[in-house]
Amino acid sequence: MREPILEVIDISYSYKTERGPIPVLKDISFKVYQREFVSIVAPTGTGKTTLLRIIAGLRRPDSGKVLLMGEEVKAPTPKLAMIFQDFALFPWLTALENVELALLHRRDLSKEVRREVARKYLALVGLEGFENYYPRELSGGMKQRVAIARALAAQPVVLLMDEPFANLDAITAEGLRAEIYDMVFHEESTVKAVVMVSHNLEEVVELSDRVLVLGGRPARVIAEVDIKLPRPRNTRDPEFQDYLDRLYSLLSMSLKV
Amino acid sequence: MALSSIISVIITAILATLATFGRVALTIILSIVLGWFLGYAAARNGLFERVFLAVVQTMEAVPVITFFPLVLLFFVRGIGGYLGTELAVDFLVFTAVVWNIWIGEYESIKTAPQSLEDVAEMFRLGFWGKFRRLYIPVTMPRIAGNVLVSFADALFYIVVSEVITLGTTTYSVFGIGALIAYWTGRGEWLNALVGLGVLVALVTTVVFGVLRPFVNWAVRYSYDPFMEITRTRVRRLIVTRRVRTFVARNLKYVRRIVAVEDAIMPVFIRATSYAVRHRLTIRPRPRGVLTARERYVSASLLIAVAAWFIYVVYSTWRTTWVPIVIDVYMHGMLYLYYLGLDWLRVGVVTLASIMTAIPVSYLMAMNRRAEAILLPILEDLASIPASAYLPLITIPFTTYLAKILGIHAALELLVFIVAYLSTAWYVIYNMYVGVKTIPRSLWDVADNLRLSRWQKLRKLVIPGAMPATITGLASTVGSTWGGLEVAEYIQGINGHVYMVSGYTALMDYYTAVGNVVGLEAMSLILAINVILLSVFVWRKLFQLARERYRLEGAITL
Repeated sequence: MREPILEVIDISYSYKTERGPIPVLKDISFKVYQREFVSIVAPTGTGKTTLLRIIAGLRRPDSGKVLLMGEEVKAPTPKLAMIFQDFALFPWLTALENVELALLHRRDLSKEVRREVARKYLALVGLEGFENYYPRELSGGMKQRVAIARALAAQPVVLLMDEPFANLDAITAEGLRAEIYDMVFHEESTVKAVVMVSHNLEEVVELSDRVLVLGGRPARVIAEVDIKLPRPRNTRDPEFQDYLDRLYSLLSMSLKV
Repeated sequence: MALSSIISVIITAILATLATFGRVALTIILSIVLGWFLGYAAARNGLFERVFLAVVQTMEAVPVITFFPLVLLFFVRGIGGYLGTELAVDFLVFTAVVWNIWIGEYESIKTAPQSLEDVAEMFRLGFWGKFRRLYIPVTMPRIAGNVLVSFADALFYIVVSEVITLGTTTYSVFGIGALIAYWTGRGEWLNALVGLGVLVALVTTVVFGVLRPFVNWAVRYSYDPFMEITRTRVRRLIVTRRVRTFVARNLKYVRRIVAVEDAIMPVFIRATSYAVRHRLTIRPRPRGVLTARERYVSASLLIAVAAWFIYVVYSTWRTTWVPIVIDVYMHGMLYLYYLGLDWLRVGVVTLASIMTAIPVSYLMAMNRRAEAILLPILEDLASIPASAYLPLITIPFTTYLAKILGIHAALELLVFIVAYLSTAWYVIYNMYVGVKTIPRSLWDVADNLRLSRWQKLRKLVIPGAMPATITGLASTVGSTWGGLEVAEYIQGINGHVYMVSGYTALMDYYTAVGNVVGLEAMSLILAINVILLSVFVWRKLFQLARERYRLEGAITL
């Protein structure tokens, strides 16, 4: 049996409100292995993003724990780097400075080295020459590339992606989807596994090795689907369409659970 | 001889204006820096948040004149000397500008984008790292939105407060307000005019040379992840190949300014309207949930702060506490009558300001050229304190108009005009921001349905501008009070004193004759009145503005 990279064990969580707690996640468990791309799909408002933030250590679960290479995650760490729906670029920093943010905690690196490393990762995502642009001067796709470069520069073990293509136009999203797998598992990258949250089934089938379907209130894992298609995947492939259909029916089932 | 004396007058005026500006800058910067820490603490800690909000939201609506007795007793008499007077002046200005700035900073930190906070946590930026790279930058747009108004407010009060006359003693510090008052008092009109001219010139320089560039710079700090590349339409200066005539060149220069304004404008509005927009459109994050125990602690903490405040007031006034009660008992009805008169004036002035603001803001919203020309002028006018030119515009009212209308009517008119001048800009400005936040699509619908100008005004412009106007009222009313304070009681022209029947006039009079007990009694009544008003009227009005007139699409300007 292989050792899991990331282990999510019996996570439960509820929103605290003035009127008392509202449970959103219940007993969620799964494992992610080496070089695996796992997606979590669920209808909007299920608490997918919350789950991802719990895995990242940004929020404490009510019960359960997250293990990264066998060690419990108790606080946010660059080893679990996250990519956000809204890109989360600091508008007052240039593209290069945004990437450098990921290296600031590395006290052992000098300023020049940090700059060099940041430059290298920007080049990796195809943004050579855009180092000194501010986020507002970049297009949506370029912004998300900067965010990817920043996440990779942190030299994470696991990359967490929260609907990374949701705010891009269809054509840009398609282009970036085609490239992202190679960027993330590039030889310069330290990423060993990816967890993505999404409600776009097409991108999920295109990218994932395994898909978890959440459903119900509070949400549980109601289904798990392995996607065994060779890469690069073709969306017109009949097998691709079969997977899509299966996920659609699971997702509509999840609404009834 | 005459020339050299004029030059020396100009140099003195410049130095005095710089001294005044120095005070303003110092107070504003101090407020900003303190606000970062307080705002951060409030955004982090639910207990502190409640106390902070209760105090700041109440103080925001209290007219500066209310703090006057406290200042007199604590700084002028307590500390004394030049330092005491200097601190008194700075403190008065501080109370005029600080609340808006603090609320802005708190709200910006509180609503800092979640994902940026997550990134900061994830990459372990540490406390100072987060402060420097996240929490200070996020406050920039709100600070920029407040800074023009704060500068104008601060100047207004500083010009008034540089000279404090208490009974037979006059305390003053070196500054343009004191200087103009001094020249006016001695009947040196020319010098006073020159001083005013210098002030106007320097105010204009600061507004266009410092504040506007700051606002434009601060825009980059607003978080708008989905904003795509925008092309600003800066027309490049065409290189002149020939020497043109003087007139032609000047015409070109004017055109260039208008062109640049045209390009900057949307950006500029973005930043300045941020303050108003933010309050209306961004749903505040829920306040930190308190447990039952914390709730008791917060309640007791609030009570402790209130008790401390009451104790401070009580102990500074201890010796005069009994006389104050007696004074209120004896003159209470008169005070209330005068208070009513002043509220009437405030009401009339506010109404007049709104009536003028509607056509002006409509014009600016419809006509880009009018906007490009009027907006900078309005900003500049708003920053020139009415208190500085008051002595000069008083002359016709006390001489020529007094003969025609009678002295009472003339003074009343003067009070109205000064109060109007210290209010109208802000109302116009707020309303204009409101009109600008009406989504483009609503304008398109109005055009599509072929609404007439009048219908557009009634159905679109006025309701659309409502939220911004109403939320602006709490602070514009403060400015109106400031205007009343300076205009109801005018001292020192040819040794005469002119006053009307009004609350602030009586307060000024008490100050001038050194009746500290009466002054304390009146400021206590005013404070109570304003606090009640803030709790029972303003907050309800804000709620109404938010719920009834909120435009969903207005979030993206």
